[in-house]
Amino acid sequence: MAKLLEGHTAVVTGGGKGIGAGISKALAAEGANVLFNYNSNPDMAERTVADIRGSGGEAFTMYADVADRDQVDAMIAKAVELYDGIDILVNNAAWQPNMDIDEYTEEDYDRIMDINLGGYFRCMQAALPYLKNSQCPRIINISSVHGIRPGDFDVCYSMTKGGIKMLTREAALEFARYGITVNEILPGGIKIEFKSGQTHPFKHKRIDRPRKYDLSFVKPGMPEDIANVVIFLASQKGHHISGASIIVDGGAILL
Amino acid sequence: MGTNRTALITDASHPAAAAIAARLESEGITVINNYPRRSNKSVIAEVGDDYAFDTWSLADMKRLLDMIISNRGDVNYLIHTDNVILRARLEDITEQDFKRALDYNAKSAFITTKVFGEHMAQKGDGTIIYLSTLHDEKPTGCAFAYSTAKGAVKMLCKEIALFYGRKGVRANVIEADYMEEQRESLDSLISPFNYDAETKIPLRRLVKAQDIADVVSFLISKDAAFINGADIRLDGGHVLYYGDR
Repeated sequence: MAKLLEGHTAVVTGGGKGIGAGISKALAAEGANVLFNYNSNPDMAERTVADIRGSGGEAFTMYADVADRDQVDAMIAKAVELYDGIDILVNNAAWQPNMDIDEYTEEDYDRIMDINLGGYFRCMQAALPYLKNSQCPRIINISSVHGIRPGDFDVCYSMTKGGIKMLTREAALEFARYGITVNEILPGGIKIEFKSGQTHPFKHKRIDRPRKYDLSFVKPGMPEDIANVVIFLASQKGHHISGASIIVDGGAILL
Repeated sequence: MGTNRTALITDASHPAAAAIAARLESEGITVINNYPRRSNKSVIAEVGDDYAFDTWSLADMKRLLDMIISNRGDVNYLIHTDNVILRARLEDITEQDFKRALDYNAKSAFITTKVFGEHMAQKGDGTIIYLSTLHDEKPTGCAFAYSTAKGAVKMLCKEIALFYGRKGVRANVIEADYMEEQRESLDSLISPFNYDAETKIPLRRLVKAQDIADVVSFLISKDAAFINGADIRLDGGHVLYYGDR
């Protein structure tokens, strides 16, 4: 069967681990050349590259801090140098320190905004000139169900995800003239290695209460579940979807 | 109600701020007016309760709280009215303008909530109102960083409704349509949503300052005692108009 993204080039931020690694692998499996950055874990990034190449795919990783304009520009330039263009941008890199409002310092606030919102903005702006030249240009922003429902464990994380919703919709409107579709995916709980937060994410929830209900049917998602939606949106089949917010949580938000 | 109650309007230059203040004062509430984005960060009136502190600065807001407590006592209502529509395209906005739009609209909400929300939570009583925009859901097509910031404020409100709600402080968002004074700021060349709005809004007029003041008054009243974490759209039904082309 023909691969859906043969010859396309994708940039995935934070693509070396967790959901990002699932997305990078899926894109490469569909024939895309994948460049992804890492910020804190070069070993996992190199392992993801090795996995992709071991499966016959093409991938490259490099250090880049999405909060730094010059480093974002360098990452985009590297993708163009290696693969002669960019067709797909997947914004995924995020910081989630798991703090309440009384724990956040002003510096923490500035930092999470600079990564989670500023990083998405910066990458979109830097990739735009190359997406304009693509035959199948796509921007896919990985957000969270906490962009629409509070998580009760990180006030600013949710703020950034609420911001990504509008960043996505505005970009979808503004970039429509270039044929670029822009969508966001809102993952629920995904089974990955634990994130960078120092405190327990469910400290305000009564997780010790007796379970009256059998919720065993609610399964945590896997990175592949998010990657499947990325592939669909990135492919020709997703060409008429733009400005959408797609919840991928197995229906957990309905509970 | 209103005896010895104090409200802070975080940006008194909002076109609805005067009507809000007049309404609250008519109910016996002391209104503190703040004017951010001014260079002289001190009391700007000899008589009255006007200040000029930057709402996105933690140091400024701590200082403002101290001054209000010293001059007037506790703050009972935080009314976040910072609403700076910075017209810019995602394609070519500068880093500085992007950050400015986020700071003015979102960081100001976060910092004022952090300072005054905590103050009210310590008393176990208070109300926060974020006077926002329907563009926390509907894109503007002309001011992307503004709507991005307001999307963040919407989620701030929901998190705060949980966190400070447990401590007796309610938080709600008013998603107002644009007022006449904001018409030009939201004029878009790629979205006709705000064009000729009076013919699309079922109630055939734009939102007025008094409409906003009425909702603010209601939200801080006992009649709204169980309303927490709500998004109250105040647009006469404007967003129901779909498929404008």
